[in-house]
Amino acid sequence: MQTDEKNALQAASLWQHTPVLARQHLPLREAALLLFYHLRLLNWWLFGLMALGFLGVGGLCWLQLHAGNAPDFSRAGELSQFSLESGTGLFAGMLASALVVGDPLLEVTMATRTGIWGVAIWRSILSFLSFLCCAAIYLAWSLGNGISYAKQQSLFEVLLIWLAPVLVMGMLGLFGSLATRNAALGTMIAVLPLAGALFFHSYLLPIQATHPFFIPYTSWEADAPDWWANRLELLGIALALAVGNWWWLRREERLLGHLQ
Amino acid sequence: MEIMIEHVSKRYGSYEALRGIHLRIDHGMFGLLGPNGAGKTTLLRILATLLRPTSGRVIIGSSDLSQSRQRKAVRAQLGYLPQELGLYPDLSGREFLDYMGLLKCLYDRRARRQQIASLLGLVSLTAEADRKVKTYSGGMKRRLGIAQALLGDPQILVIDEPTAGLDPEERIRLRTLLTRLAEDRIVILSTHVVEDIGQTCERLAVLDKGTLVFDGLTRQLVESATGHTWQFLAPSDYIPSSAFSIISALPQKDGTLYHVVGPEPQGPAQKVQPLLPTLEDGYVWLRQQTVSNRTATLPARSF
Repeated sequence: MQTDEKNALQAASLWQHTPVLARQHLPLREAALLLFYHLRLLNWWLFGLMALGFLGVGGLCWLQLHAGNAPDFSRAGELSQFSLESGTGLFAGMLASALVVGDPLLEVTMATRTGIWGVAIWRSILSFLSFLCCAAIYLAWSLGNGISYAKQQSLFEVLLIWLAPVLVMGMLGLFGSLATRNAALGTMIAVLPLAGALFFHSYLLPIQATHPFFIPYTSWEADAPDWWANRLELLGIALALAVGNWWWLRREERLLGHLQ
Repeated sequence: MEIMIEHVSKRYGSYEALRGIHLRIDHGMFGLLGPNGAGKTTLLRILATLLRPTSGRVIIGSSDLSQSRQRKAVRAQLGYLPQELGLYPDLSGREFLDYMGLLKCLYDRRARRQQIASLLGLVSLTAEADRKVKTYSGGMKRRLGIAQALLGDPQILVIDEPTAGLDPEERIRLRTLLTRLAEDRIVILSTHVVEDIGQTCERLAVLDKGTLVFDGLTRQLVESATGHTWQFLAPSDYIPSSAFSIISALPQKDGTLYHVVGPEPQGPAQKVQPLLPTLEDGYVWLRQQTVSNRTATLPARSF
C-alpha cells in the first residue's frame, strides 16, 4: 500500500503538463478521426446490415432481371422502389434513435466543449453519408440495369424516393428517443407510420387526407399527380421534427432526467 | 480563480433538491459531504454546467453560468467525473482519451497524444492503455475517468464519489493523486465517505436535505465534537441511549467498548473517557444536531 501511495505521489509530482490549446478550427485529419470514432461508437452492425440489405436486394433484382420476362422485370423495379423507400427509412429510424440516447458517456459529453449537440450533428452526418453512399451506388446500378422508378423520372425524383423517408423516419426516430429517453421506443415511434401505411394501405390510400403522411407512397402511387406534394410534405414534416430535435438537444437538463 | 455559489436553489417538480446554497470555493481541494439524497450530485451538476439553478446564480471566475455563452467558456476549463461513469467498452483506454480530447476541441494531434501518454502515466495505466476498456477493473475505470477529466489541463475539477466501489489501495492512490492535483487548480470532491474528505480537504461543506449545514475548515468540524465524543465500557446487555450515535462497539472480555458521540454517558457505563474527536465524530455530531434541531448549532459560514 505504501509503495502504491509513493508511486502515485511520484507520478503526480512528475506530471509534466503538455500544453494543448483548444481550438475552434477542426483540421480535416482530425475530423476524419472523429468520424471514425463515432462510427465505432454507433451501432456499426446496423450500417453493415444496411449494406448487406442493399446487396441482397441487388442480388434478387439481378436474378429477376436476368429471368428475362416482363413481369419479372417489373417486379425488380417494385422491389427496388420498396427497398429504397421503406427499407432505408426503417434503417434511418433505427440508427437515428440510437444517435444520442443510450450513450454511456452522455453526462460527460454534455460537459465538454463539443457538447451533446455537436455529437448529435457529427453522428447524423455520418449516418446520412452512409445512407447517401449506399443509396447512390444502388441507384446507379439499378438505373444502369434499366430499372425505372417512374414514367418520367428525373434524378431529383429518384433522389426524393429515398431521401424523404430517410429524413422523416430518421428525425422521427431521434425525436422519439429524445422525448422518451429510450432508443428502442424511438425506433418504435419511427416505424409506426411506415408499418401503418404498409399494413393498412388499402384503407388509407382512398382517403386523400392521408396522402401527405404516406411514407411508402412511391410503392403504390409512383405516378400519382400528388406524388411531388407527398414528397415535399414529408420533407416539411422532417424539417418540423428537426426543429423539435434541436429544441430537445438544447435542453440538456431534460436529457439527464433519468439520472436525477 | 474562485467559484461563487449565490443563494442557489434547485427544484425537480415539487421536490426541492437544493435550498438557498451560498458558498465560495477557492483554489485547492474542497470537500462536499452529506448523506445520500443531500443534494451533492445536483450541486456538482450545476457546477459542471449540466443543470441550471431554479433560483440564485453561480459565477466561476468571471463567467456567470446563467449565460449560455459563458457556460461554454467554463466548459473549456472544466474537468468532470460523474458518479456513474459509463465508458465505451470496445475502445482501448488510449482511444477513449483520444476521443475525449477531440470532444474537448484539442485538435493538435501530437500535443494531445503527448498529454494522453502523460496522463496515462499519471493514473498508472500506461501498461494497460491499449487494452479494451471492458477488460478494466472498477479501479482502473475510475482512474481512466480521472484522466479524461484532466485532459486539456482544466482549472476546475468536479469529481463525484471518486472512491465508490474501490478497494482500500485504490482509494489511497486516488486520494493522493487528487491532493497533488489540487495544488494548482480547484478540485471539488463530493462523497459520503468521511475519511476521503478528512484525508484530502482543508475546507468542506456539509449538505443535508438540500440545505447547507456547515461550511468551513475541516478542523473546525472536528473540533465541534470536542466534549461530545466518548469511550466507555458497558455490560454486554447494555442498551445505549438513543441520545448517542454509536461510532463503534467492540466486544471485550468484560463487556462492550463503545465509542459514541453525544452527551456524557451515565448509568451502567464504566471507564468513561472523553476522546479526541475525528472528522467522522464531528460529522456525526453535526448530523445529530441537524436532525434534532433543523436549525443547526453550527451556523453555515462563508469565508
